[in-house]
Amino acid sequence: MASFKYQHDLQNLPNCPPADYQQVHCQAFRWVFEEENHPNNFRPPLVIQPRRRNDKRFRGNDRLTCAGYALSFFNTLENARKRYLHLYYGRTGQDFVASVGTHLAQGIIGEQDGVVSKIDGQGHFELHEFAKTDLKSKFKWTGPILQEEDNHDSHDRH
Amino acid sequence: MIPMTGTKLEKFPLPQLNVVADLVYYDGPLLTLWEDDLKESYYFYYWCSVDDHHNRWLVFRVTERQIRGYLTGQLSLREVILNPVDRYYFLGDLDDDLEWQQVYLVMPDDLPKSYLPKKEIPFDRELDGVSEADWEILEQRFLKSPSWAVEKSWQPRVGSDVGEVSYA
Repeated sequence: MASFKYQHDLQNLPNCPPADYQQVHCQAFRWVFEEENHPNNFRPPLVIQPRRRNDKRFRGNDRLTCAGYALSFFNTLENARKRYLHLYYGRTGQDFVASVGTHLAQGIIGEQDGVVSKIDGQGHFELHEFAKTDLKSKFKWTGPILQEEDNHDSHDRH
Repeated sequence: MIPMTGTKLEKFPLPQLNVVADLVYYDGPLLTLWEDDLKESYYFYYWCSVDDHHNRWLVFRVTERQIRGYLTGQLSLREVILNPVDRYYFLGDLDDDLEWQQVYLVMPDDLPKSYLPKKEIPFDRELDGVSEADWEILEQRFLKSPSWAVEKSWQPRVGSDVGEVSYA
């Protein structure tokens, strides 16, 4: 198997990527920034600076640390929107978009791109990229995640 | 990020705290429950904002009852934030080395409205990204404890719109 993009960081973590992650061919949707050249569009959480964390568990928890070097995706547009809307409206303020972006990108992940987790109940899965994978060239921006109708009832009731 | 308003503190004022569980998680925590060493006081760390060097967190004390109300869908996160037990918050910028760079004591009126959740949407374990391990802890600590049985007759506030899940 090819080496992974963040091999140096993964090599000391046990079972990373997890043994049940597989090379697959699948459609994928990812939250991205409007600017297609934004550096964080295809960076995993532990590579983005500053890292969004509030304690050192990333360093002490091998499972979370391993996941921190994987990219998040959804299997459908609907699932990508559903999770985003839940967090955007119910769990964060206006600046959520500065952390995760505002747009959706759609593309195909191939067997040559890395290994992916099983899809969870919310349609979310993660990819550990191989070293030479270039996802930016394989994904197309489909537009803003929030649609006009989403905003009709988003007034602040403070 | 928005300039902070309130009383600037020389350092983060809370004693040693320990993580209980992440209550909202997507590519890192967005809301984390902490407790003090004596397991007597609980605190929410609520993510507010980010710039090139810091993530900004709102830290405030919450009661077991608020935690339980949140986990059972009777209180929204917005309601919990708007009703801090101590009537104040700590708002601070944490750098990538987890050092507090500036911390303010902030009164509710000075909390930027843009930091609040926009809608009252009840807890949803899956959409909130709570891990199996964290959910076991939360269930054991807050939903199966003896004190919960006494509170089972507690009713959500009249007029609360918690329960609305419509995004449009």
